[in-house]
Amino acid sequence: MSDMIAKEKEQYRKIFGERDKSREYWGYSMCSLCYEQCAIRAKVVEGVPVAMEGIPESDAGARGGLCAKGVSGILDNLNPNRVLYPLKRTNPKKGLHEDPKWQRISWDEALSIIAEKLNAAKEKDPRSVVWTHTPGPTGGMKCMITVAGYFVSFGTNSYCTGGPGPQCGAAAHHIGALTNAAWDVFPDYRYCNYVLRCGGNEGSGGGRHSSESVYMQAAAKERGMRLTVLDPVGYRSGAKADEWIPILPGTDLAVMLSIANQIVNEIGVYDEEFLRHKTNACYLIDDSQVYVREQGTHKPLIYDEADGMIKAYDDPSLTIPAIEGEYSFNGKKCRPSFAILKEHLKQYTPDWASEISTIPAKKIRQIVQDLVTEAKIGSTIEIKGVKVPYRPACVVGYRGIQSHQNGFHTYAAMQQVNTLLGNLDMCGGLLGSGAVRCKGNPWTDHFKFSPYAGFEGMLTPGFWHSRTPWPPLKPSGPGKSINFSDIFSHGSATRGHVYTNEWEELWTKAGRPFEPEVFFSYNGNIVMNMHNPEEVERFLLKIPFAFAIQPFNNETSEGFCDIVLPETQFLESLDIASGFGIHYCYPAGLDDWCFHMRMPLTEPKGESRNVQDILFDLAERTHIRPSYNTFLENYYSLKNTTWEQAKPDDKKAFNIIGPNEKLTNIELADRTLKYNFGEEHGLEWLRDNGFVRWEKKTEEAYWRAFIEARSPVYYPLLTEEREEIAKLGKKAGFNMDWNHYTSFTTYFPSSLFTAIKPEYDLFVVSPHDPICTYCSSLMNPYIIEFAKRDPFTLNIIMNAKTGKKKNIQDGGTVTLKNPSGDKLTGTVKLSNLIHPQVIAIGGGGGWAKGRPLARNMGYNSNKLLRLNQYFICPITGTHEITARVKVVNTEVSK
Amino acid sequence: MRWGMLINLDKCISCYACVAKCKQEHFLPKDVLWAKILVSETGQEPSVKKQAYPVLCNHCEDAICVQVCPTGATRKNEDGIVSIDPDKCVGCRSCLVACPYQVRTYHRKREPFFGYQGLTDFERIGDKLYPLQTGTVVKCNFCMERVHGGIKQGLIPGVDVDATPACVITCPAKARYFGDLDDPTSEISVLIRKWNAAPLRPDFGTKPSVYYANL
Amino acid sequence: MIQNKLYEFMTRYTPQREWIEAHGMLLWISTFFVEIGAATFFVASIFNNMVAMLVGLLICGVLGGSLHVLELGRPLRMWRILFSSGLKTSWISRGMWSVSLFIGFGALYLGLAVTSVKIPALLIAANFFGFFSMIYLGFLLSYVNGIALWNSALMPILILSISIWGGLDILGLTSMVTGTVSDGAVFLSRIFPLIISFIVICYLVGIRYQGESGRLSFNEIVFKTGAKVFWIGFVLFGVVFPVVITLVHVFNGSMPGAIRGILPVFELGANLSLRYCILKWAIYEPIIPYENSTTQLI
Ligand SMILES: Nc1nc2c(c(=O)[nH]1)N[C@H]1C(S)=C(S)[C@@H](COP(=O)(O)OP(=O)(O)OC[C@H]3O[C@@H](n4cnc5c(=O)[nH]c(N)nc54)[C@H](O)[C@@H]3O)O[C@H]1N2
Ligand SMILES: Nc1nc2c(c(=O)[nH]1)N[C@H]1C(S)=C(S)[C@@H](COP(=O)(O)OP(=O)(O)OC[C@H]3O[C@@H](n4cnc5c(=O)[nH]c(N)nc54)[C@H](O)[C@@H]3O)O[C@H]1N2
Ligand code: SF4
Ligand code: SF4
Ligand code: SF4
Ligand code: SF4
Ligand code: SF4
Ligand SMILES: [Mo]
Repeated sequence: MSDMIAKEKEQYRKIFGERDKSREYWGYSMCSLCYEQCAIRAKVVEGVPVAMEGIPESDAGARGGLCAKGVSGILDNLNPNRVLYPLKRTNPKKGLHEDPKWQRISWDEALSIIAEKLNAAKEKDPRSVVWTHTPGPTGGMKCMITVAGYFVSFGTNSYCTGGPGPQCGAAAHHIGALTNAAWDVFPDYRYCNYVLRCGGNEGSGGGRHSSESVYMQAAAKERGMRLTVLDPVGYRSGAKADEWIPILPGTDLAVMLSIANQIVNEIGVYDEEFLRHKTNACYLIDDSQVYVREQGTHKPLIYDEADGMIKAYDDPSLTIPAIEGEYSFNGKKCRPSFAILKEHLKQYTPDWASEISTIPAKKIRQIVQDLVTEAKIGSTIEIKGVKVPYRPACVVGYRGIQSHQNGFHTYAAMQQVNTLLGNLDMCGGLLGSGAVRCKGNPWTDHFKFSPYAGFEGMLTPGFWHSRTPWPPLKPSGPGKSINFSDIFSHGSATRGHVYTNEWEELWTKAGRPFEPEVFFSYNGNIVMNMHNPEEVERFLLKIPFAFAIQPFNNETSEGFCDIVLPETQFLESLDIASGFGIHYCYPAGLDDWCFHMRMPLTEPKGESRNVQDILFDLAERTHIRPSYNTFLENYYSLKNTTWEQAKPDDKKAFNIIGPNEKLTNIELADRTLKYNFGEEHGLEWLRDNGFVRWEKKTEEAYWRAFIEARSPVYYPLLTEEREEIAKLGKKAGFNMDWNHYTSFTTYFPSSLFTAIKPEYDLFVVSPHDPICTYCSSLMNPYIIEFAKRDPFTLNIIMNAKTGKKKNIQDGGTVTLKNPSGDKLTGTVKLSNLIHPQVIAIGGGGGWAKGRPLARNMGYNSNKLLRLNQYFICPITGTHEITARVKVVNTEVSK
Repeated sequence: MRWGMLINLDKCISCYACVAKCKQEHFLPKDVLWAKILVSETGQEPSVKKQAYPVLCNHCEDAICVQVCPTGATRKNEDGIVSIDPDKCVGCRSCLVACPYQVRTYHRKREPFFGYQGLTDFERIGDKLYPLQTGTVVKCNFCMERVHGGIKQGLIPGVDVDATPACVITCPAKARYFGDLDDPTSEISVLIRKWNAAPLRPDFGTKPSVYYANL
Repeated sequence: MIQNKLYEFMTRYTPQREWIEAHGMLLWISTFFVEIGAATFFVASIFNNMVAMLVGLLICGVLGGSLHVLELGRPLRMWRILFSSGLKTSWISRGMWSVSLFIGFGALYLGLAVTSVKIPALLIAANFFGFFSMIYLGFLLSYVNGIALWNSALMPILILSISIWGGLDILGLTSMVTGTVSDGAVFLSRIFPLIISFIVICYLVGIRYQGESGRLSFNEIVFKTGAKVFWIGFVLFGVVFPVVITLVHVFNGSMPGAIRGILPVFELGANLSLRYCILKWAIYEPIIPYENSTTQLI
């Protein structure tokens, strides 16, 4: 065994050795089988983990509860198929279903091969290193900090996650940053009285804060909270709703716009105060729909009703910003954006929306009434002695609503409804999930972050990973980014273009400044998680060298990786990142701050290592230690958490890790803890006490009332940059509907409806399942037992009446075909709990040797997805994840 | 003293956490489940409803399984828990066949979770910590060990984690309650009245101790 | 709707499997032997056919008893069935006691009888316990209220009567071999198919109206998956052939030995078939609220 592992084991034993000697002990950690990261404690007997429980004393997670995946995690840890040693591919042939013929090699050999490839690539162009990762199993927050930090420091922006992001939250995270300064949004279940959920399953075993939200929603419903669900599928969230309303996929935009229209133009009850002071509804715009700006300073302007003067947005004397009326500035006619928005929305009537969405108009009207009534606009409530606005109603949705070709406008339209209700980060309303504002840990007064008014007074997150969300970078390129995030500068940096068949052509037109040389995958399974595997294969085959870090092999690593490095499975891993993210690491809403961290329950098996240690080694071997260290220093001391990092500077004082220090994972964690929570609260303390808890203040949970910053009802840069982006895009051969670049949320039908022949009469959706983390859980023997016993997990779900029309039998076999001729055959479960035009297929259908149990469990609906620019949101890069198919063949069950 | 369980179906999201935790708590081998979720649907649009019923042994007051057991292996304890003494069971399966709720399993032979890849350490240690005998019938025992062990430590079942059935403490929705049905003031009795909860198929006449709210 | 997928277990009408599939087959066979063995002894004792009594004893004890024990998951613990509190309520232990005592007294009786000491008390005792050996399964099944097909007052009578029917067939066969045919017995076994069919009809009609699961069991047995076994296995071989042949025999005197020999075999097959139907198409009622309407669509 190499000395690096010896050293790590020795450090491990220094802290956990004593504990491990006792025959039986409980250890604290965090689950990592989905990005909820529940607080757990686990019992270990004779070195074997035997019981997983939640922590009732903590607010992180379901107050002692866990989900089935978490409980079953022990069998992932003991799975005989784990990767325990560095593996080298000996089969030169790569491709789907290829057997890599793994050969065990030493860490030294593995790392030098990788370093050599990385350095060679860096010579040519650092961006030739393409990376993907996922917050899924084991990855957790590490992917966004430990791993992303490495590649950012390496100098590559070739961030091509594919499934995670574009299939997931590309629009939600971008817009979440602008509206809530948060990675994501979450109803304030403690006080909310009415939730309209559109395309999400949080609260019923999926979504954000997975288990925590199950606990919270159940409690809220018992308290009397009402839940209405718009979803093509009725057996998930819909099953827990007071009313489930089936909706045709990809049509939420119409519904959201008509809701907004009714609020402002029919009912006329909306939160004026909020619009005036907390949004850019008051910013003046001219006929060309761009801001009217102050000469010289170029600042946007606002009309103050108090003194009838037009002032710069940040003029301290501003008291009553106007959101209606018409004014003139230097002879130019101008109006507050809201005044124009109001008119713009008039076209979107409930009957029109009903046509599109298949939801009866009177139901849409009912929903609006409920929202407006329940929002109690104008009311306040006292929380811990502090008076704050009370808006106990909201609209929330996630993958289902946002992952469409019109993703930006759809999600923005949803947020527009919440904005009109004035519920953003207000008590009872829609909160930023994860961490948005912390006034510091009482022991140290460190661990502080807060949103603020950034560029042009707009809300900007104080704690963020990935590239700065606001203001968006100036569009540039083409050719600066392999996934064209240079051109498409709005939205998250991850895009799926590289994995599409048209990438070759686009990249050539962009001038091919460099070729992909190295591919890296962290705990992801890009072959399964994005779209048709053959398109993904096409790209991966172009890349001469690929490697992965993960505790298990999967379809991606076996098909395409030259080297796989064994990461500790989460029950053995130690990572400070887990506790330090903006995902869902912290209790939501008014729940107390509870800082947990992933700590090992047992010594890592075989030669598996923590990813932080591996990347420290690689940083050394690829000569980027100073910048990588600086990234970590800035992140963990919360100086600068985004990807835009200044050059490392030896002179600058540091709090946690100096630019040239050689720390190990354990040392980094210990120092980070001590810096943020005090000398006496390092790793040993956390090992014994489990977590740091302190009270959350009203000003933290409901910060909106206390921060002077504005969120958008109007997106000026979209109009302003349309031309530029279109120009750059066309250069690279993009021919998208550039009209999406418009400041007002506007109806654009998803290409789902404009680009596909009607004969493909069925829409395929693919919900996450409560017992599966996307498709990986189907390698767990417990999960498989449950999956087989649930009608909705492994089958192809089809509406019973539709099945009857097409004389398809329950339990029979169907073959579905998409316009590109891709086929998927499987067993049908007929149900009344699904929209007549919709088919639902959960994740599954694996074949990897490293996941023998997952073989042929369920079906991979992504097979039916073919992506190109016409099925990708021109702004955020979200994918249209709904497939359209027709039934081409049926067999009755035997 | 009669231990009972209450499950609020409005809260249950059929997440299988209880099923998984029960399996883990008792090291149940492949395809042996003491807790299950019965998932189906009823009605048609617009009134179609998903059904998800967590089921386990009902610890019936008039348990047929006890009556048909020829060896007294299945017995009813004074605290209402119906348990099986694995050393007495001859594996005749009349209890299994007679139970109208079909919550019993015949543990014929043990299959490893990972098949030909052999037993995991979890299964091995399970054989030490909680051995199950092949050739006998097994079922939910209301986490007897936790409940009785907890009481010995002065803990209160249904209140203290370590004295409460594993499925109850793991439920993320807090949909499951455990307590003394004979004590009208216990949380469970109060809630049963409040939600007027009832057992499944009372018409079988076995007087179950597991109640469901919002049936 | 009858459950046929794992995920439909007990949410639909769910077939009983434990006592008829795989290992469970043994129960079907063993109880058959136990019961017809005891029955053979009983009828043979009426027509005092010592050999047949012995045969019955052997079928019950050696075939039935041993298979019955093998059918247990833990055969070596079988003694617990005899010596435990179970006896108070369990028909299985009552059955086991009856069988053991029947064999005990029966063997004693015959043993002494060969030394031409016939003690009627022993015979009565043997037949007393033999009676319970024939009927205990009937009681056990009639006890199971989750299964309409079993939960019927007629069940013990049905089981008892088919046991005696089988007994008569064995008697018939043995007396052919030993050439000690007694007209009474022949007469009985000729009319027995009619008695059986009468009881079976009453039983099945009763079941048909015992709620949904009764209806389903009835349909499965009479019209669907069970129809072959029922109509051919039981009706054709157990009723039609015997009756027709008997009628032919009544009109034109003598019946060739071959046919006389084959009939009981047919009937025994029919007997097994009927028992198979009773175990195989026993169906539990769903334990969650269940509407047919939903599934009719599906
Ligand atoms: N159990 C579990 N929890 C998880 C995960 C997991 O894999 N398993 N993954 C985690 C991750 S990575 C993510 S991104 C989140 C995702 O969390 P969610 O967004 O809750 O993801 P889904 O559960 O797929 O829910 C999407 C829902 O939208 C519906 N839908 C599809 N199309 C449309 C549409 O056009 N309109 C509307 N209104 N609805 C539509 C689908 O039927 C489905 O019910 O979950 C996280 N939590
Ligand atoms: N059809 C369809 N496609 C989807 C989605 C969908 O719902 N339907 N969801 C989309 C979304 S939102 C996302 S974020 C992505 C997620 O996509 P991925 O995260 O790529 O897929 P997963 O299957 O969650 O896990 C990826 C890998 O994690 C590795 N892994 C690491 N540690 C562990 C461990 O300890 N246990 C287990 N079991 N595995 C481990 C396994 O090798 C597994 O293959 O998929 C996207 N694609
Ligand atoms: S919700 Fe996610 S983190 Fe929590 S226990 Fe389940 S899998 Fe683990
Ligand atoms: S549910 Fe079945 S096994 Fe449990 S006590 Fe009642 S009858 Fe016995
Ligand atoms: S199987 Fe065991 S517990 Fe069940 S009745 Fe027979 S002896 Fe009793
Ligand atoms: S009470 Fe215990 S044994 Fe019974 S189902 Fe729950 S966890 Fe399993
Ligand atoms: S754990 Fe709770 S919510 Fe999940 S299935 Fe069991 S009872 Fe239902
Ligand atoms: Mo995701």
